[in-house]
Formats: sequence, C-alpha cells, structure tokens
Amino acid sequence: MRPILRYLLQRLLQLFPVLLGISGITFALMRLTPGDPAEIMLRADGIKPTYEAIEATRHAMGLDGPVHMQYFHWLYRVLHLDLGHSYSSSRPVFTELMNRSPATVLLTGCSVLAAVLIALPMGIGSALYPGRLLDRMGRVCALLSVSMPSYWLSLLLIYYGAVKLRVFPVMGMDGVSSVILPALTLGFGMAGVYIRLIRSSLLDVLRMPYIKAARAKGLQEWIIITIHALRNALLPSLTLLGVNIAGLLGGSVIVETIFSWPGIGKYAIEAIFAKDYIVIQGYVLWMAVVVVLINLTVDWLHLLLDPRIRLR
Amino acid sequence: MRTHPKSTSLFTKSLFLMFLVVTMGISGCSSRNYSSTSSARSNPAASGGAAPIAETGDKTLTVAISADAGIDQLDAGAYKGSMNVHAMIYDGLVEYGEKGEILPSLAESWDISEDGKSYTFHLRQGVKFSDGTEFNADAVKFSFERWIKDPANSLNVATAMESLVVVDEHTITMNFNKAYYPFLTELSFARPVRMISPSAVEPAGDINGTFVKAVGTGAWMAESYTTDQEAVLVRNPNYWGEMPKLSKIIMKVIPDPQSRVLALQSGDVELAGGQLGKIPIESVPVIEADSSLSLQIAPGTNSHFMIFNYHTPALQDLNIRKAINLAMNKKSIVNDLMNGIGQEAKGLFPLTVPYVTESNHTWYGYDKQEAKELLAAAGYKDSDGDGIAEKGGIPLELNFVLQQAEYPEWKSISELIQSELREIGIAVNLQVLEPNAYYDALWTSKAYDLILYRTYDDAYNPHAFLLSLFHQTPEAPAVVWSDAELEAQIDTAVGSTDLQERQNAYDSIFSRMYEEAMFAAIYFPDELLAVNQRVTGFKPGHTTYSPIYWNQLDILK
Repeated sequence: MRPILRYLLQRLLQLFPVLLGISGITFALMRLTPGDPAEIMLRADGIKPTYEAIEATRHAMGLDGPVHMQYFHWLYRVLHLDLGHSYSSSRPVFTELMNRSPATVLLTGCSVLAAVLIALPMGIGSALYPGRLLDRMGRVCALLSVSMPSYWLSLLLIYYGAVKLRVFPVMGMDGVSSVILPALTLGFGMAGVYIRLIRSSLLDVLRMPYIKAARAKGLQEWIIITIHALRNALLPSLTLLGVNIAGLLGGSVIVETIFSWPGIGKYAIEAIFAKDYIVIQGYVLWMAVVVVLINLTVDWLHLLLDPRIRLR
Repeated sequence: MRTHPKSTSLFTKSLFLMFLVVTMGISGCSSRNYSSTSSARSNPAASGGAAPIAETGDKTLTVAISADAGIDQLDAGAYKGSMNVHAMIYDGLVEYGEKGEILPSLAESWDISEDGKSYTFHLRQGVKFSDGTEFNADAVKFSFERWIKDPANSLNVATAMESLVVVDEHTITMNFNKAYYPFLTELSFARPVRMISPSAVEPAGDINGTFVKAVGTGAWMAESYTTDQEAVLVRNPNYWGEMPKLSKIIMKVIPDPQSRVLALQSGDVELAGGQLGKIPIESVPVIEADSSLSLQIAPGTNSHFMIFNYHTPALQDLNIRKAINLAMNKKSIVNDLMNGIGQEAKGLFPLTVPYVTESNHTWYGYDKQEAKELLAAAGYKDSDGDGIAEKGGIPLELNFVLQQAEYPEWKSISELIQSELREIGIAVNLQVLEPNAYYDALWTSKAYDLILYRTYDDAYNPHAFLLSLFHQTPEAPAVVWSDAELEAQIDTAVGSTDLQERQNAYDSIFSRMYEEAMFAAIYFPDELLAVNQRVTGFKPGHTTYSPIYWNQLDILK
C-alpha cells in the first residue's frame, strides 16, 4: 500500500496550487463583469445612491485599492483561516458556508440514495432482461429523467404531493418528509444516465469469460450478479457519481429555490448577483476542496475495487 | 441473456421487496408528518371555537416572504434585513399615510419654523420599548446619532442636519442647513430613521455600541429566527397603540414565486404577495379559482416607463419621442399582457403619489396614424420599402435594453413595443441583460437608446425620484432626461415651504415632462396579494415597507 499512500498524499498536495489558481482566476473574472459591488449594495433598496455614499462604501469594503493588492489582502486573510465577511450581510463567510452545508449534504445524500434506489434495480433489470418490459420501462424512465426539467418536475411533485395529497410539506427543511420531494427531483434527474450506464456495463461484464467460469462452477445466479458482475460493472458509474456528488455539494439552485431549501447553491447564486466577491471567493474555495477531495475518494475507491489499477 | 429460472424469480422478488421498502419508507414518514400538521391545524381550531377565548388565545398567521428576514441584524439604523420587518418592530417619529399624508407616530405633533429649517417634535408620553426601556427625547437623539455621521448615508435629514437638541424629556428639535419639505417624508421611512432602544446595543446607550438585539416600540417583536427559513414575530406587550389582534406572525422564506402560490393552495401559508414576495401574474386565475383564497389588488405607487437616451440624435427630436409614445398601445399591455392587473400610465406617477392630481395627470394616448405623421414631420421616410423609415439614408434603428430577472413581465412588454414601433417604421433591437449589466447601462455607460425602468415606490415619490433621475448631481448630468428648466422647477418644488407653491411647481414639472415627451409612459402596476379566506381585517398599507396594516389582521380558526 506504500506507493498508494504516496500517490494519495501527492494528490492532496496538488490541492494547494489548484486552490491558488482557481481563486486567482475567479478574482480576476469577477472584476471583469460589469457592476460595482458598493453601488449594488447601496442600491439594494432600489434607490440611486450618491457619489459620496458609493465612495465611502467602497472604502469600507476595501475596494478602493489596486486589484492585485485586494487579492493579496484576501489571500493573506485566507492563509490565516479567515474567509472574510460578506459585503451584503456582513456575516462571516466561513460560518455562513458551514451553516448551510448540513442542508446541502443532507440533500446530496438523499438525492444520491434516491438515484441509486431508482437506477440500480432499473439498470440491473434492464441488463438481465434486455428488450423485455423492465428494459423498456428503464428506457422510458431514462428518457424522462434526462429530458424533464427539474423545475417542472419539482412543481409537479409539490402540486401532487403537497397540494393535492397533502402528504409532504410544500417548502422548507422540517423533518424527514421535507427532504423526500427535493431528493426525488434531484435523484430522478440523475438516475436516467445511471440506468443506461449500469445496463450497458453489466451487459458487457456478463459476456466476460470469468462470468462463464462462475456459472460453470455452479454458483447461484444472484451471487454471480451481485458479487462478481456488479463489482466490475459499477466502476464507470462510480466515476460519474463522484462528479455528480461534487456538483450536488455545490448546491442545486433551482431545486433549493423551489423547495425553499436552505442550502449552499442559493447562497452562492445570490452572492454572484450581488457581486459579493468575498462570498464568491469563499464558495469557490469550498467547491475546489470538495471536487478535489471527491475525485481523490473516487480514485481511492477504484484502487480498492479494481486490483488491476493498483498494479499500474 | 439467459438466466436461471429459479434465480430469476428470486431476483424479481428482491426487486419487488426493495420497491416495497422504499414506498413504505416514503409513506411511513409522510403519514407521520401529515398527522402532526393536521393536529397543529385542528388545535387552534378547537380553542377558536369559543369566541371569547380566541381573543387571548393563540392566533397565528403564516406569511410567505421571498428573502431572509435577517432579524439578527435588524438594527434600526442600518440597511440590513427585511424592510417589512423593520417597520413592524420599529416606529418612526411620523408615519406615511395615504397619498403621502404625514401622520403622527412617536411624535404626537410637530412645529416647523418659518424658514423651514427647524423642526420641533413633541413626543408621545408613556411609551416604552418592548423590553420596558423608557422612550424619550434622549432615545431619539441616541437613535439618530448612531448613524447620522455615516458618509454612506444619503438622506437629506442626515446630510443637512446641523444639530439635534433635546429640549426636554418629550421635546426634541432638529436644525437643518436648508429648507426641504420632504424632511418629514424621510422621517417616515423604514430605515435608518426609526427609534431603537438604547438597551439594544452593547454597551447600552453608547452610540458607537454594537447592535445586539432588535428592540423597538413597534407592535411586534422578534421571538425566534432561523436564517433563510423563518422569522417569528409576537405582539409587543408594551405597545403604545391599538394591540394587534393576532398573537403571532410566522414569516416563512419561500424564494420561488410558484412555490409561494403552491404554499397558499396547500394552506402552509395564509398570506403572500406584494412586496413581501411577488405572486406571478400568470397565477391569478389559479388563485381566483381556489375557493380558500381571495385575491387582493391594491393600487401601487410606482410606474414602469421607457427612458430615451438624450445622446441618441434621433431621440433628440421631439417628434420622434412623441411618435414612440403614440405608437404604444398601453391599454393592450395592461389588458393582454398583465391580465388586467394595473393601469395604463398617464404620466410618470400614478394618482396614489402626492401632488399628482387629475388635472396634471395627462399623457399621450394610442394613435398610430399621428405617430406616423410625426415621424414624417421629423424627416423620416421609408424610401427603400423595407418597412424601416430613413433620414439621409440612415435607417431609424434603436437598441432597447431591459432586464428580466427582477421584472419577468418586461420581456413580453418589450416584444409588444418592438412590434408596434416596427409598424410605424422604427426598427428596435431588444437586448435582455442580466441585472448588473443592465444597471451598469442605466447608471454608468448609457449604452442604450431605449431602456425600461421603473420609478421608486411610495415615500420616495415624487421628490426623491425626480431628484435622482431627472436632476444633475455634482458628478453627472441627469439620468433620464437633462433639461435645465425642469431641474429649476424641481429645485423650487423641494425647497418650498408653501404647499400651494409646491403644488404649482409640481404642476409645471409634470406638464413640462408631457410637452417635451421626456420619456415614454407605459403602465402603473398594482400590488397583488393573495389571502386565505380565514384571514379577516385585510387592509393594504400605503408603503412598500408596510404593505399591510398588520395590527388589524385577524384569523378565524
């Protein structure tokens, strides 16, 4: 395991240049887009602020210095573990991100669970009985999953689940039942790809000689499928799942907005509209860390599941 | 693929089992939740059955709001948190009534000096803040001094204030360096001019102290708050005015307009709309069809209009500006695009705005023929038969900038305007921008020929809107239209202490705008609210920050 450990450590160290690069690029990009954060903040009431008011606010925000100095100031603070305070709410960015992450992590977990619960049986069923009813259902399900916009699906689910049947709450994060509809929306949206992916990779694997060998050994079919075939067939899905989880942890603006879910996505998008540089920078750092760590975990899982990769 | 028949059935079974577990899981949690909500619903109903108990019993109203209430930052002297909640927790010296009438609030009466520069307020006696702290002239001085020196403030009461003198415990005088009639209007704003208890900061009574808790004299006080989820307000037991009938107002954050309508339909919230969080116009039929809801339409105080860029040569021609005004079918915009909600604009401000009267309220109607004639009079003619008029070989083509994020209805309105202008021979290119780029075009770059905009609301009209949009500043010329005569009239209006003189000045402002066709008036939107039928005593307020008379609301359980 030694070289593996070294490899993982190396990857972890790569995080730092990645963070530096990403923060530098967002810092520059944000300043290229039109709009002055001081003016936007003062205009939050819809009133045109005076020149003096804008200048005073710019000074208070530290926006009156040269851009590179602003970046270095920010970097200096981050190295002292201080992500700064939001321009618009003056709340500490780190606390705000941490306050919102449980909701996002919960929704991510439940969405992935929903996707797995839909895709796994559907995908396996489609592969085992290609062309039969289950396979056709899988096709229709996959088609709907990728083509139904999430805002429409969420509104449909709220309308039938909360308004008509009154089984779920319309909005907010309040108890187990409140996570079901948003998780179902996100999970269903992801499931389609996995249904097709699991189907095709399982079909490939089932054609492998080692499956034939297992059958020849007289193993029961369900053991062959679950233990021998799935382990290999799920590898491509695992990679994709890593990407999807990272995306979900970044927040899902539409679903969060429609279900009034207090997650990270809405926080980030509001910061972008308000040009709240400090929040955007903090969010980007958070996302970079999440993506890198998840990729690392996926790689590590590959190493565990597939000895062939370990040999390389 | 052939599989073993025995294992097949096993697999099917396990699939079915899995499905069963999932469904049971879902229905399990959900039925539990349903019973809990229904018991919550039936509980107050039981106590509401007996009318006398209901007076003192728990009467809770749930309201949908579009953004976080920010109660933990609701400093009376700052611009943070929800303005609506601000106005519920804190009172001002005066209050903004119908058509801008200034009503007493914490000040029972006031005297204005002859020169209009000195205001003396006689404060209401026996008023206590929600935590029991005495309200007096020192508390007023404290409230003002906390923010009045902040250069980020552009209110005239702040920039023009020379001194704030406590005369006695219940009298305070404000001295200003100029006469400006809207001082009183500014004092009715939701912030930063309202009164906060000296005990709300740490150390108590220190004007540089840190804000700790929202303590005001208003009818409501904060009970609990969860960021981005909800704010709970309860009656202030020390309130000086008529006690609210409701005992509690829960404000639930629901950012999506469609979800607000669904929450109304499901009964999760009992009131939504207006400035609390808009209800989409396309949902009007849904609300009207729902027997548990009633639609409330309150006349608004702002207007949506089109700005002409005075640097665009073609638009410097009065005939063209008139032609554009005449080519737009404003009735059709209201009736066909806005579901009949709102009014055709007859000038810059609707009649709900102070100094706007029936006699100074005139604008161009809809007359395509006259529009074409005016275009011809301006020298524009379609000589090459492409439908676009030209002058000196240059076709009349205008860039029309708008944004959709804050006003989704602008898209369809601008498309209608585009087709109507096309009919008289003006080519219009629509540019839908994201809000920051849009405001940059409006305020700074002026990168537009035509741009859609709206006036401010209630207490900012007409003076503050005219001053910031039709008047130059030390740094820049006027935003909407630059006209020296108009600017002089605005100066006269805001500096005058005589009501009649002021009215005359506003009359001439509005008539000059009309004569010069300084903009294209479009429509006056109405405020749209939806209320559950169980809610009684609904009365719309006169400002965006007090959209409802909260204290008069009641709920039948």
